[in-house]
Amino acid sequence: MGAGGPASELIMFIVAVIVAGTVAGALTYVTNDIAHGINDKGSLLADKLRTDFAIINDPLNIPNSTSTNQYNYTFYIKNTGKTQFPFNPNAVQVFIDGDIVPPSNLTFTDINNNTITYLNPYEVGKIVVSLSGPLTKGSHRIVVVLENGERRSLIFKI
Amino acid sequence: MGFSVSASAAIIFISFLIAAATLYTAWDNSYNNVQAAQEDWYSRRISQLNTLVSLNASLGSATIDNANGYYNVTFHIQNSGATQYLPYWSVVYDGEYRTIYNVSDDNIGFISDYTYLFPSQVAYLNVTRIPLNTEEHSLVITFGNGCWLRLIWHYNGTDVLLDATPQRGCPTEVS
Repeated sequence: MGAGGPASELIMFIVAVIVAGTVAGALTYVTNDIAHGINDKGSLLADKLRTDFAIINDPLNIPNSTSTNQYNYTFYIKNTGKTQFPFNPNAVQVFIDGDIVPPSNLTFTDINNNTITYLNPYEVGKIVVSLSGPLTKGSHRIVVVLENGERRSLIFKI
Repeated sequence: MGFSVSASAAIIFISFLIAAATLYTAWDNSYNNVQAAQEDWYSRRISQLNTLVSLNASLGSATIDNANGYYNVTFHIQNSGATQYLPYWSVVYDGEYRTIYNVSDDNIGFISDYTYLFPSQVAYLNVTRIPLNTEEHSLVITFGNGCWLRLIWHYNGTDVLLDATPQRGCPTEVS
């Protein structure tokens, strides 16, 4: 009975330290998770603010060509932001008159027709949109949406 | 018992301090990152406003070569605002993208210094070997910040005329 006092004190101490350590560990885990979230959200927001681009076509004169059952329309994209952005069919969505153009019908190149995957600041790239039928005479609208949600539209006439 | 409580309280207190420091560091990094990006965004918008009001173009001169069946025009692009960096400019001539650093490669190019266009200076942009007919032609000049000037002209049989005052605009987000 005489040794019961220190032993129970020791057990109480160990249990208290384990409980406190568990609480501290959980707090650290949650805090790190929140900190990563804050960093990610900050980076996304900063990236979106630094990204800017323009569709620089002449709206009354869109280059077009015809190949086998394909009608190709060329749009010029200029990176006017401070950072490069992905420029490939998996990262950029193109809508013509509200309809999304499948990635397989989009070709991304630089102005010398070399395939590129990123567009650097102040560089101009080309998106060739291949459609199964020609666009009708009249006004149409293209919307280009980047990976981070930044988008631009151009109303053009055929 | 008393020491157990003190020890566990100390552990939890220290973990709170570490958590607060971690969160503050993350917030501070993000804030600085977003703040810097926001300043870039503001300066780009100010640059666009400046470009919209300070850059204008006019038809400077035209030379007609009846013998070879073409004509050349020189556009004057006046800058009354902030300094512009010409290598960031792009042009689309009759719908097709063209380079403007050299007139000999594709008939479009600057004839003056191809670096900076300082306030009150004029850049001379040549378009050469245009077929001598009355067809309308267009030139869209896009500046480094995305704003653009659009010029339309035609040859009327005796002279080259601008069809309208140059149109201008800047890219905007769509909804």
